[in-house]
Amino acid sequence: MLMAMEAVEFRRLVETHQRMVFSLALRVTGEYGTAEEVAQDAFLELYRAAERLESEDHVRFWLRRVTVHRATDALRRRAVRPEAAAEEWIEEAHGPEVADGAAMNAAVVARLEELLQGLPEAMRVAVVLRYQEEMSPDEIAKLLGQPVATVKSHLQRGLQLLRRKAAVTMKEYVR
Amino acid sequence: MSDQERMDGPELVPDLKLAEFELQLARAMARVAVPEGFAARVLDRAASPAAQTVVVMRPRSGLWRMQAWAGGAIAAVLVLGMVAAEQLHLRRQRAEQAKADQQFAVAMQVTDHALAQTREQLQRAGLKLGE
Repeated sequence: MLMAMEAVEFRRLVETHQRMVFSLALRVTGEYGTAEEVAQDAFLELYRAAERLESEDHVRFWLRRVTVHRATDALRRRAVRPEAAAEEWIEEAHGPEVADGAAMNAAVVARLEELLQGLPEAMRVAVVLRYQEEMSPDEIAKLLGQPVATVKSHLQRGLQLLRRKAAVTMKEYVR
Repeated sequence: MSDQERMDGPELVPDLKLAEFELQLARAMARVAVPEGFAARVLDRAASPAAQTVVVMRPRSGLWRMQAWAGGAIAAVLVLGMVAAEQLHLRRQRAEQAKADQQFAVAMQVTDHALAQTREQLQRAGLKLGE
């Protein structure tokens, strides 16, 4: 698609995909600064790899995969569980967004994000790709290079774990 | 993707409550806004010379580093061992050569001496060697 990545084309790709890449990085790492670093690195890799990418779908697939890998690498380098940092970014990330969506209670959003950060890495990645990116288990399996059954298992267990925690800590929201 | 598709995909919906929870989760997990100036910072980094040449390496684990170090040490020991064995072999070859040269010189002296004696005896008998 891109024989030589020009500034204009690169800017367009950054502006098109920045929310996807940053949101993925943020929900996997659970830390605002690390997420920005991961997202920037993903785009720089895109800049270098552009000649190998054949279509807009390929770019999206590639960005998702690189972002997830870089984010999990960052998690392992940090070698701490991300729960501690979860509170820090929830307000930053959702302040203006939640105000727009009156239907969704801000407290529910914040609590669900917090609970998500408590999931084991593999389950969290699968849940984020499923519910943020609206990807099917087949698509997630392809992206992560895992068997579909493994992805379905991570999704099912992740969702059950989230719901169980939510039932205990936010009874008023889980009907 | 519709809500129904979302529920049907991973076979995650044993009851309505879980389905409702999934919907709440999906709404909560909308993409978030990027930090202000994010795109500009990415473009700045891409424009810098370093961005053209930096190779991104995944971090290696401690085990991998230890294996690499041990592998290097084993290879170095093997090379040193081979060099030392080669040197020893050459030294033995030279010593054997010197010994053989010495034996040959002694043998030649003995032969010369024997020939000289034989010549003397023949002269005394009135014969000349070669006649």
